[in-house]
Amino acid sequence: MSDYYAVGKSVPRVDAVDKVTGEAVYTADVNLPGILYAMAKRSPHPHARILRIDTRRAEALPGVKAVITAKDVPDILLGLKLRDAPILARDRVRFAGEKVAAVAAVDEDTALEALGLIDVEYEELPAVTDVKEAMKKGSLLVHENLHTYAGLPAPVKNTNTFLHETFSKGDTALGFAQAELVFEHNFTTQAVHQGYLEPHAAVADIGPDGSVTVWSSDKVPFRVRSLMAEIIGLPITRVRVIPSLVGGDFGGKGMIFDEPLCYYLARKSGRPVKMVMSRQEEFLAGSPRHPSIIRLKAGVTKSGELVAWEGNAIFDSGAYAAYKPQVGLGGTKKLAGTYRIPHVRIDGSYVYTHTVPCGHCRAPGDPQASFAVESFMDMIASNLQMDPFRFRWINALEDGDLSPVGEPWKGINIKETMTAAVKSSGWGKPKPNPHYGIGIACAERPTGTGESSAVVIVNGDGSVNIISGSSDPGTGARTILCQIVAEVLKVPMERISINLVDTDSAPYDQGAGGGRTTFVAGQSAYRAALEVKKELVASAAKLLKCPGEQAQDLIEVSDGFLFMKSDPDKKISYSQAVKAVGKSQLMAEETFSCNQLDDTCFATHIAEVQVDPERGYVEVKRITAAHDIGFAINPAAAEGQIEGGIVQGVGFAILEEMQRAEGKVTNPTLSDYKLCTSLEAPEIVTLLIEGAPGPGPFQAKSIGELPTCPIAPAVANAVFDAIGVRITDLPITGEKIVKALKESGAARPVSAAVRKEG
Amino acid sequence: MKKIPVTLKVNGESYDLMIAPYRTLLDVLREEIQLTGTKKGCDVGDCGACTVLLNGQPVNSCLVLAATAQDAEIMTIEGLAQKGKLHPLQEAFVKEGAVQCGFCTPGILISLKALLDKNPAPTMEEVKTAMAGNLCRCTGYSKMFKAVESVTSGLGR
Repeated sequence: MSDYYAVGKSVPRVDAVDKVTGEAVYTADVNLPGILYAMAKRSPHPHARILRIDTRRAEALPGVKAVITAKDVPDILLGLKLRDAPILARDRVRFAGEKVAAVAAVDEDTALEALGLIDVEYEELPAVTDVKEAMKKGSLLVHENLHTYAGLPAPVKNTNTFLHETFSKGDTALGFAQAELVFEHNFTTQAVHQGYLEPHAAVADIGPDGSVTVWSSDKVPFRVRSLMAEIIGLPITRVRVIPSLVGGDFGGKGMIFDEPLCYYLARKSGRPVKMVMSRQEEFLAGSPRHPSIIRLKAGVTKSGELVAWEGNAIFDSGAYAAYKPQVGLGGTKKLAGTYRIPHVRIDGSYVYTHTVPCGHCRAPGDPQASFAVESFMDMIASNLQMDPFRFRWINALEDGDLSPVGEPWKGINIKETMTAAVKSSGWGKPKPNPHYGIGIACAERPTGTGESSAVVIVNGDGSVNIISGSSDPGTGARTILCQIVAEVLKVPMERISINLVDTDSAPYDQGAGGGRTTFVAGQSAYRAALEVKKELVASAAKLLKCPGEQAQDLIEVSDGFLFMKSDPDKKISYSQAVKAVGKSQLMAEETFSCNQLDDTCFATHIAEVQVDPERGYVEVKRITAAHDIGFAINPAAAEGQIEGGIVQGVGFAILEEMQRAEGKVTNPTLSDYKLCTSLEAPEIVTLLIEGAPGPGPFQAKSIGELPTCPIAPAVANAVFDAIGVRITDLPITGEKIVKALKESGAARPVSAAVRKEG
Repeated sequence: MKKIPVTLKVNGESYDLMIAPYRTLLDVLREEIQLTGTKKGCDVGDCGACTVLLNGQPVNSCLVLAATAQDAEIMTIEGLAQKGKLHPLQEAFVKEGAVQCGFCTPGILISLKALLDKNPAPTMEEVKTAMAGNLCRCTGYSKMFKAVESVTSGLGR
């Protein structure tokens, strides 16, 4: 694999110098002459009727240029699939933090002052903030007109459960009858914020002809364009979205936020408008990871073979489902893990409550399912008095097996990741001290699908431009595309350029998300590069007097030159090849689209922790992460995704929780909501497993989302190993550990949490 | 509120400004001097994205009133590279892949520069402590530690 020209190498990112010098431009950095600063007035109540909004005092404040309420914006509902969210609350607010009005002023301080002068009269209504209450028959409805909403996957009425999905294989009644032992347990996970450092930002400017230019921190510029065009009622040609660098995404930046408000404020004021969410607003009204309640039931033989499995997940969706491109989350399907089980039935419910609307957060739904499944696996192993590795090993899927719900999976190499992780970690070695623990967890996540296009241009001087509308929210996507094209054309990286281009200047791209970019955008760039290479070779064939029909086989490229394999000394430069056809450049455009893929990826993580039994503090000392990656186009970038995902996962495991009381987020600051700092970051051993080929260029697979999935259960399992208490309710805080230790009354009780039947 | 005259010395340049006395150094740097490399991640001193040097000390510029920085030497990320030559920390961040989305990067580089100016051979614990006020969500910090180590290698331990 080492004889590659540009891929398989940890080349620096194409935007790294801009980013270390402060030159990199993010949306909040955009400044236009006469720009106004906007802010939103938000509901303090989780559920209320809006009786009256009086904006007159705010409008009278010097420096205020526009105030808008629901009557100034179209009466439509927005959503990536299920359309249930208004642009501004109309008549009714459904969560504390929902926008009811917005103001644009000459500076932020004036805008802030004006917010206080907007008088909103509410009639407070009872709120349903508990997901189980919301599921009860006859519960107060968050959306009374749910059945009229566009995008509802199946007709439902008079319910808060807007989606219920089921997956099954075999016959679970038969399976449980065959089981010698049956285990059952409940798990809960908390709401967490994606934690990107750059808050949502948007700028809108309206041209004299009514055309609209939008700058946005959204990672899907083409979706911003289509949604904005639809809202305003313009053809998409009249809306241009200029992408800025995105300061972190993790799933939270795929839905429009304040872009429409900027537009309507700009229209009313006649000036460009910028809106940047505060950190507090991010917590009150971002789109965090769904809290979940998960019940698992497993039937096993005494020798440890899984024979039947039931899983049920309840995802608290908050007040709106608008932020989810598929209405539900992929997580439901993950409720049976990566194991060979003949009889499986799993289901998931997605439920409205009067709380902050939840959205996509790095591997949507998977970290919740993974925490439950992989904790449960250890609990069963413990009851069987079996080593957790061995219990997984005898049940782990192998290549050729169907997925737990009977779908075809390609390239299953879970065991390879297990072996690698065990070998490089402290697994099976003596404990260095009594309160040290080690835990293992496995996970799976498919490579994503979608549509991308790329244009590859070889210029008259032999340099190369790539035009792609794909976005790079920090993942390194644009660098990867350059490496792919550099490899195909054998052109040095420094002679390839890829810029952020607006939606008028690039072909359509579905945008980053779901682990699709390296595969989908990568394939489009790879194929466009191959096409342009064919043209170069055809031109060179004439100059080299090579028979045209054999040219593609007989001519090779290297370092920007073409030559016959039989006579490598006689070289034609790319520049000569371009000029020889009488053109200024050679260019190819390729669209790649894929909607169905069996390829998936696996990982095994091993966590080593130290627990302070007095105060319950968990210190994650080391994570060993083995990832099935197919091929790492840029190993440092792949490692960076894994390392970042792990530390985000550690936060999910032990630190982070959006605490809520009566539907309101009570810790909306980064001092009360803790992200891992450099002091909490564990030592990370990353193992890139390149055995099973993936669908991307050079057999690459996706890597962005999976690393965050197995961490929480690996840590929970390590905590159990360290001090013998099993925490099934995330996050694993010191208080919970101390309480569990007190209740268990012993330092190392047997896994009492598992109920044993049959 | 009445604006007051303030002279700020940023990256060696003097700026005579008329600003409201309540404005933060962060907002003035970004909006009055157009030095947008310093980032606003929380505006309340929790995230460190707005870190600048004030007389050599790293501070959250969102917690400093611009008017109080009169006569101080201020360095922002734009002043870290000298005459187009990257600071060794910047070079190391580029080379080691320590940059992902880049939003926290300016603040972290400034915090680390402050450390290395005082302590050119820090231990890894000292490096971690110096960065502890700067949140990063993308990198897991690993490659940043590696980058600092590459700059200070052979020193410290």
